[in-house]
Amino acid sequence: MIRRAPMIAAATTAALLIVSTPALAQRWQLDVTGNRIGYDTAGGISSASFAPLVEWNRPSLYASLGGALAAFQGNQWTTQGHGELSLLFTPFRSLGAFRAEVVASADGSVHSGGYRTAGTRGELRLHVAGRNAGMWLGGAAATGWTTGATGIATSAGPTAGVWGRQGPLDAMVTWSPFRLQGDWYQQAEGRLSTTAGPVDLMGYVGWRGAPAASGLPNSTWGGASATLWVSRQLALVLRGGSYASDLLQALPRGKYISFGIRLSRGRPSVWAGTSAPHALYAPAHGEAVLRFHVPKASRVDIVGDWTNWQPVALERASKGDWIFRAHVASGVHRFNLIVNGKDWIAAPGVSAVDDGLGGKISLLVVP
Amino acid sequence: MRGILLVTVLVPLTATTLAAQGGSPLQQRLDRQTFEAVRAIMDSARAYSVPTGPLADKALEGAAKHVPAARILAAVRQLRNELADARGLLRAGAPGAPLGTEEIVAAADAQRRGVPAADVTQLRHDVPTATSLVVPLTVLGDLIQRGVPADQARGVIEQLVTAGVSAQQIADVPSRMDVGLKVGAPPLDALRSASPIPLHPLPPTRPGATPPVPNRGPGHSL
Repeated sequence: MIRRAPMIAAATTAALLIVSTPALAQRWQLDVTGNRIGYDTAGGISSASFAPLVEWNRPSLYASLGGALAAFQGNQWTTQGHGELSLLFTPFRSLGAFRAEVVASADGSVHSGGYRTAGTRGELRLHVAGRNAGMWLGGAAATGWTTGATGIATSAGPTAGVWGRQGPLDAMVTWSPFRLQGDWYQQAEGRLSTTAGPVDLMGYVGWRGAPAASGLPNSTWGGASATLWVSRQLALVLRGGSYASDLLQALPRGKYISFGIRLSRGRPSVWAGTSAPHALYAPAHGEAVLRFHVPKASRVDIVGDWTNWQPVALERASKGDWIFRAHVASGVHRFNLIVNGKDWIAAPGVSAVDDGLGGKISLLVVP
Repeated sequence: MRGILLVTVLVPLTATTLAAQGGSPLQQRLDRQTFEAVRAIMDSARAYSVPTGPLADKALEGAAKHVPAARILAAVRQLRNELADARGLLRAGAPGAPLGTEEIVAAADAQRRGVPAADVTQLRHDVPTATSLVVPLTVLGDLIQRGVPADQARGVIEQLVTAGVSAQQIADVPSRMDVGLKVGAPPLDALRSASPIPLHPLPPTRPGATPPVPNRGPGHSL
């Protein structure tokens, strides 16, 4: 390890701690991993890396600041930094379904051999979103610079993307062709992610078609990651796959596998299952079938005004779900769940009000 | 056959036993002193036409949660006062209209969830009295908790009710609205998308109303 690396690591950690105060940063994480990397331009090499990330997520603003310090065999090292800022707004008040987004990002790297790179990217997107799917169209421009180049390389092109979700599964596909040094390149990427209990899974694939005049081959890449959350602040992360070369910053394509730990202020929000609580509405006629997600419970009872506050056992379903079936009279009803015969809770994801007795109580409405 | 016989014998026997013990679930689950105190609160509520069923439920809830008697009585008193307030607000909106227990309860809950008193009264005033306010009041609370200014949320509910949208469809609006909120739409835009009918322009927000708090969702970057 070279002498400067610990200083960089300490400075990065200090910066992370300073900017990650609850009032400012919504989430931070720190990955410490061991890696095995194979570059197209070199053989396999082992490394240890230290990668902090801070994210701010506000109603109309998203920002992230991340970095990585990797120490390789033979006293080689590399540091990388990346920052992104995204602003989301409604461009036409009369067309509320449309949202515009401006994204700006910058990144750079410094390597022990003296090689340095830098790049910037800007993108404008027009989103339209439906119930479980959405799409956007836009355009992007990027620049890249390296110590070995005589000038700044630029690229530009349209972008388009579609996304969809089905239960906990999210999928996204983007198409982002670009023009670089007079030639058009085609590029498409896809990503699939899901969550299953304490495990977050993500997979991605990409393809880039290079014009014959460039002399470059077409390339494909893909990979996957699995993150096992041991607690809200600690996870084990296993990743592997390949990534594309960076034509603007002349960084080679590589294959990798890594394993490490992630320390975090909190698990990232999961797209599925983050709906704001609201009163539970049962059908006006027929049997009400209510489903509650109470993982890791061995028994769940429901108690409410319609049960005269006597516990009624729920039926166990799959994946931590519990089901209640009953005919409930019209009106506003109050209820709690009793977990494992002892813990009274408000139903997860259901609006609750103070019960006046020192706890919370959920609302069930039957029209 | 044997089971039917058993039920035929046991049910009347159990009912007879309960009757012999004197009682209502309230009487069975509260000690005598607490029961008498709750009954006094219920009597005072009855004198002002405040429904007593929810008060008995609250006392049963407290007993089931093994809460000390003093706290049960405080909760029952507080609920009596809230129901009395809610009844007054609804009555002010439609003085001669029939008023059901469930609407009074829904109005009290709505107030607990941040629905301003003026909007409870106005909703009762603007919506035909034949229409139950149970779902509209509850959904109004849901919309306000999602960042829709109270007067505009009420305006939307009134449009839906007036257009003949069913209570079940109105009840679906909050969860449909969440879809828009998750992709970053401001609450009013998400509400427009969630509405089962096209909405007329909404009135401007009155000063001091709840500010919109849009969320952000995925799809902004890969």
